[in-house]
Amino acid sequence: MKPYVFVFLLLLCVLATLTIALSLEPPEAASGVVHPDFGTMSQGGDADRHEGRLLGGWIYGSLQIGLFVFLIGQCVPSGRPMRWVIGASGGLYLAVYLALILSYGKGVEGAPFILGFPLPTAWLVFGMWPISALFAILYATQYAKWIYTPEDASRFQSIKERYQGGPENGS
Amino acid sequence: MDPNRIILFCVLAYMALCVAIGLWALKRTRNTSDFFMASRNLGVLITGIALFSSIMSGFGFVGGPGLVYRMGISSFWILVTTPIGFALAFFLVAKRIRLLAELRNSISLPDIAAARYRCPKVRGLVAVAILCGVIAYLATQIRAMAFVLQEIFASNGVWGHDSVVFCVVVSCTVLVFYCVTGGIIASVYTDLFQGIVMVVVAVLIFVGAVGAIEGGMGGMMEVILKDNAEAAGPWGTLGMLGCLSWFFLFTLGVAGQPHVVTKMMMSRKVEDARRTLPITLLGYTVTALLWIGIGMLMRAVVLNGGQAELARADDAAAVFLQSYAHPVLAGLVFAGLFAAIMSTADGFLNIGAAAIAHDIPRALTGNAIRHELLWARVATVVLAILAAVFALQSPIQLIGQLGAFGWGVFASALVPVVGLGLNWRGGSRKAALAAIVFSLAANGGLVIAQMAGFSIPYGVSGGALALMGSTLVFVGISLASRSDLLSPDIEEVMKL
Repeated sequence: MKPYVFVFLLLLCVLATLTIALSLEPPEAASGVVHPDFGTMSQGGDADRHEGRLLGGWIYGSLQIGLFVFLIGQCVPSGRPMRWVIGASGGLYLAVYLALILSYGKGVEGAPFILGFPLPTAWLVFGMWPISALFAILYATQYAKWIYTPEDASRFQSIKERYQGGPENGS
Repeated sequence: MDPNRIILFCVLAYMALCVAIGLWALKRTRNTSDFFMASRNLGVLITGIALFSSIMSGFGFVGGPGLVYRMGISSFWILVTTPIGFALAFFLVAKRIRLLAELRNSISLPDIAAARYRCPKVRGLVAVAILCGVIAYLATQIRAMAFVLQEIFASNGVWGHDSVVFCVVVSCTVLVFYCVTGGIIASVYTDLFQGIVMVVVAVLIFVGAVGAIEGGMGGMMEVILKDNAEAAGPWGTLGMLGCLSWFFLFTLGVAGQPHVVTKMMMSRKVEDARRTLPITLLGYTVTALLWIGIGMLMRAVVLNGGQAELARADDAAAVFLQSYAHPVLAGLVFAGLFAAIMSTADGFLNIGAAAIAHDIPRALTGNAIRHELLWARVATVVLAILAAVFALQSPIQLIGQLGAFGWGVFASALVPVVGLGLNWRGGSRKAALAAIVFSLAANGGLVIAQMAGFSIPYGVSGGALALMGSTLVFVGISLASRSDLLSPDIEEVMKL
């Protein structure tokens, strides 16, 4: 088995196991309860529902981010310049997710407001959301270096010429 | 002028424009390559806007605000996934699928799968998975269109609230007309117009929503937090594990949505992908403002007593428009809502018609059917009728489940087979077949179980579990089976 397949499979297995393990014996209000005054809304109980599970949630989310970044990294052939930037962006993404978890651990009530959101939520809205756009920026700016180089384009032209008249419509 | 008349006028004008685009595209649709693939001649702007508008469906404009109203911040996790989800889909699929489409003159996703795995069974099963997801998704979109039209007609005294069949017929007629006449060309050009309407409307609504309560966004959050701190926290009321399961499903799942990846095959040049992604991302992010703005405002005003409780969470957008928006803006939003629904539905009709008229006959007989373009048009009509009947006959509870079923089937069947299979030479045809069968069984089983009252602990998404399972099946069976021989041209393209 190639190492990258092994890493992918391992990440996936751990994620699947964690999904099951973390779901066992859910406390009350684990996924919300009906609001006492407004039946069409739900409430989340209090933060105790995540007690003892925050570390698991951090690992679970971090593994997911790791899996996404790993897949992105595998789409860029090794040896192409600045490939390490993908890893660094992944590191930044993980750091923001860690900040979200830590600030949530300190509590939402009493947290300072940042641009209209309590700090833990602000990490989600102004941290995780824009930071993940880094990968799209990398795709757009490094496309000709990583994804489809001028050499790739001429190789593709040569493939097309050699196999012209071959099967069509996927046959 | 009566505000309801303005709304009706805006929606009718929008429908007339869609019909006009259909007639314009009719002259440009001469063969199946035009009908399904727009002759691989779409510019960057059109592809970028068509991509985001086909994924921001009626769910985004109706269901999204409803989720924020019901659960607080939880559904932000669906929005937060978009940048990395789209980026991942582009990294995994965009270049390779476009190269293969050009190399083999492929006009559908099952064409690509058949070329990759050298297997007609894979083509057939991918087509069946697409068809299952399409009918389920289309049914929800048709029901949403009819629901909106019913409200508009009723408020104008044109027809009562018992007019659901009539509304389904009217909305489907417009949709089918431009899809049959102009195929994917009409679809993407209406998407362009629909996308622009959605962006304008979302910005105006967000500004209006933030200004509707004292203290703006901070004011809304304070009200929500005072009622229940968890609702204002990063996990909302759904909780951590449920949110993280959405994070997984919606990030990885984009690469398996056929109405998205098929459009990646249509761009004029392979290199266009680099500029398409930022346009798609920007468009989606701006339209997401409507989701956030309306949802948060409606939760806050109901909690502080400024508004009576909504009859249903999904009424958040409609009540906001009646109570807080200028009639002209409300008219525009209703047109935008139609735009959001139709831009998703037209893409589904097109890929579903391709599955029926192009892929399944080839999988069964090995040959194309005669007069494929004619049959593609017939298939479009038949598919719309099937989905409409399904939408009308199914209970509301099932309709809600079907949207999730559609996304789940696409994600769990196509992410491993297409997303991973195009990047990993070791993916085998046996594994591809097993992953699709697993996906259909798992998603179908979950819908039945949920209808029977079963719920997954912690609100974990069934689609996320199915996606994890099908990916494990795909990788596991590929590793356990001997690797298949690839066509030499495909092998060379996979090395690029």
